[in-house]
Amino acid sequence: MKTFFAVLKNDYLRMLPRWTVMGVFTLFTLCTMLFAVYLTEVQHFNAHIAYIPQGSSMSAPQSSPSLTVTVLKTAPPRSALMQQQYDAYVTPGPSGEYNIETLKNQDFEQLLILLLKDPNADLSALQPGRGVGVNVLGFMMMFVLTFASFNLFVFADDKEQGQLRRVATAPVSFGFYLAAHCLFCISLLLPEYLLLVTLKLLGWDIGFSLLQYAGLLAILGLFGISLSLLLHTLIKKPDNANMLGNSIVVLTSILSGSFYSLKAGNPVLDHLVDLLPQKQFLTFTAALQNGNAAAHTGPLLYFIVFTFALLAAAVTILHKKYVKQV
Amino acid sequence: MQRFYSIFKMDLTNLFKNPVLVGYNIVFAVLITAIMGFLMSGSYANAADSYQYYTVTMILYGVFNGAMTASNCFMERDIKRPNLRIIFSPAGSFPIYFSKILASFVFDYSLHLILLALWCPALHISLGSRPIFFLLLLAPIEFASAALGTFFCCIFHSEETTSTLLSLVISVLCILGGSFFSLDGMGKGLALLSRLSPVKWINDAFFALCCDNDLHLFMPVLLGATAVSALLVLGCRVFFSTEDYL
Amino acid sequence: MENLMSIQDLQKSFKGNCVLKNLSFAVQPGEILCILGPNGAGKTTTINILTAALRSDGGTILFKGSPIGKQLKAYKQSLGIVPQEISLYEELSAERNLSFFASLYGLRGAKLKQAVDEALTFAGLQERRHDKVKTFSGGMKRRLNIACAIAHHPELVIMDEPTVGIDPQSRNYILNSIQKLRDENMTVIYTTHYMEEVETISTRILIMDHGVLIAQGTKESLKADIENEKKYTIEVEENGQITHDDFFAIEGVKSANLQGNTIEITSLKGVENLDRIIALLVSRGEKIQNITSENASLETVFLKLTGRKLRD
Repeated sequence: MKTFFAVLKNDYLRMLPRWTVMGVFTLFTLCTMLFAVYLTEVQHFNAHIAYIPQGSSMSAPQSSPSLTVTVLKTAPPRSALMQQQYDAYVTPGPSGEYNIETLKNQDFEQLLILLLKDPNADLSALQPGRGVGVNVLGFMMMFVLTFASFNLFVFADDKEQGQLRRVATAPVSFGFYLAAHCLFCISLLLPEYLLLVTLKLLGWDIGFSLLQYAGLLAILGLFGISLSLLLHTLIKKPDNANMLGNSIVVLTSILSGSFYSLKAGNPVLDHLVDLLPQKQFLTFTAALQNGNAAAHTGPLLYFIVFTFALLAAAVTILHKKYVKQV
Repeated sequence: MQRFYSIFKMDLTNLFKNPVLVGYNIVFAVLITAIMGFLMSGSYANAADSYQYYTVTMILYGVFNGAMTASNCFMERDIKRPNLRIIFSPAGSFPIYFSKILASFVFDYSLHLILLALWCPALHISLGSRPIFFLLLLAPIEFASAALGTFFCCIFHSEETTSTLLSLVISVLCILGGSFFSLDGMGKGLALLSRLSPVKWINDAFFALCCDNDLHLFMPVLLGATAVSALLVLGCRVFFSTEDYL
Repeated sequence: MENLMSIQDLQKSFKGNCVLKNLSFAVQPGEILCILGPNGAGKTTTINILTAALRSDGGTILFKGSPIGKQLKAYKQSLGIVPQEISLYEELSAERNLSFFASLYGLRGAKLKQAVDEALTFAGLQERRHDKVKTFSGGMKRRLNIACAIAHHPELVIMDEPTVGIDPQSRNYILNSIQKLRDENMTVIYTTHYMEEVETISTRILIMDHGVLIAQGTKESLKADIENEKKYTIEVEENGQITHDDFFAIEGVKSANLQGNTIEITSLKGVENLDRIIALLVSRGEKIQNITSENASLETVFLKLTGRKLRD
């Protein structure tokens, strides 16, 4: 235990010269959390269309919470459709119907036709949004994982500069040494947790209870640490390990739908994406949000097992390389 | 001039000899474009539109990430000391940071051009009726990214800090700018927030080029990126001090 | 003979802490000038100022009679620096490293090739010219580090502890090579902690402490002050009642230093008084465990001038 506390204390002391970067990281994560909460408020199906009357006497469609109509003399350029500044261009047809020009799929077109007929049509059943808790954790995910990679400089520097070899040859527990680094990295998620506490106290709906958030943040943080630990173990140069780790995190977080639910439409690819631990994590959090977590313990277990598998692999390799030399 | 050329050649060699950087600029770029394009294709009537969108935005994302290439070129641990040995030579300090900017620019720009040359015909991605403008406009933005990475290195004296910060800042600006998903359809507030990101303006310029053959944003973005580049190079001159590296 | 370099009243402070105070010395052409000093004496700061990498707070530095600031590029052209840390591109070969650093000093084409070949021969690395530096031993890296500094045949070579952490064979090779540099009319400024290196190669020595020059001269002139001295170091089992004054009564004894169980006595050479010193100790009931004697050495000079106390 002495090793554990000594290493932990040392980590906090080593953190001090890097406080500016850590502060910026934390600030960004806090901002994305607030952004996620705000996004949930505004998140519902909303089509933004440009209506071009073309001299027709037909009345323009009415705007509503689900439909924003901008009346223009001429159609905007195609780039506006491409960038989704407008979801569709609508012009009056010869027989009282509307002509729709859109790049979006059939489902959207059907919804739009529905809205053009009845702007106040209720679409919530057709387009269920993500809950605030899922949004918060989803948006935080990429930053938490990248932050974990950055915070593991305590281990990366030890490995590169030779302190790891010193620790391994000393009569101390290697396990406690690694555990101290892990706890150090997780403890740096405290500001994020405090923000959630603050929001809860201010009466905001944050989706989950504080205890649930503590657990979810802890395992998410541990996943980031495990991934980063394994990469730093396998890759000699810390800079390369960080670069690769950040690339993997960005790619897999986006694929998992951390910011925006994605579906490939291809069963094979959808199954491949389902293999991503972050995807399973978000699946569980969605189920937890909807009150049927018990039926979705599988994804959580998968995520935890994956995390511990990464951790076990890293520890085994390190143990073989540094401790078990005879 | 000859000395500058020697340093520039060395920097360029070091970049091309780094498999992680080459891989990041090619493989990661291809992967993210292909994956995003494929995953989002379901939302579009024509899958080609999805690839069109993500080719443009992800190439630009790769261009902005060129700042990390520059910081790696300048202060990656193994080459930081020999790079700074140049301080003692008659070459002066200007070539030290400027050659990093130029080498990173050449490295990233050439890789991205190769990528576009192979990717666009294969997936029928349009760069506009006059692709030369699209490719030309990439250049000052590429240069500005390299200058940004070098500038941050001059301030923080560390590749690790620079890369971590920049990676974060660029990701956030790109998310806000609609590179991964458009914020325009998420309400007035978010659409306005999106406008605050310079990435949004740059994306607008490139989409105007490739979708509308419209050059009205070409010069503003070109001049803006050039001005930013000049400011950042000046910033390097101000903040780079040989004494900080002794 | 005109001085190659003339340093007058050099001053430097860091955050209110004065590191160099009115440092003045000259460098003669063709000499090997060794700068000695404990840690924190200001050696590296002096080197950094001489190499124009650090600005001084005051004083002048003349190179061939002209201030270096007025002819900075030409001055740097005449300079070769061997940094304390190995500053080489590890992923590149020895030849590539040399080519690159030599090219910064204006060498091109055939001249560059010749300079690289000569530098590789100088460093004893001809056979490993195409191998990557990361495959080199520490000694080889140090040799290459030096070779990169002399490839362009500078007039003045400044070496900051160039033999740190290498084996005796490599050190020996480097010291011999430095002497060859002098034979080729290069002037060398050399900082080190190793007395035996200074004994071997120096033409002149500067001893610094706390930012001030406290002694300068040749080995012989520095040792002359204590050349007529001899030092005895006597270890006793338990220092009981003996005092300094007891020793001063003995003819020839100049100083006596009692530290725990160790007694250091400085005595005049030629006065055979060891038997009387031993007799005194025995008469006082001291049990002598060990006696060593040494003549004047640079280390003695150095320790006498800077003290034995450990430095921060």
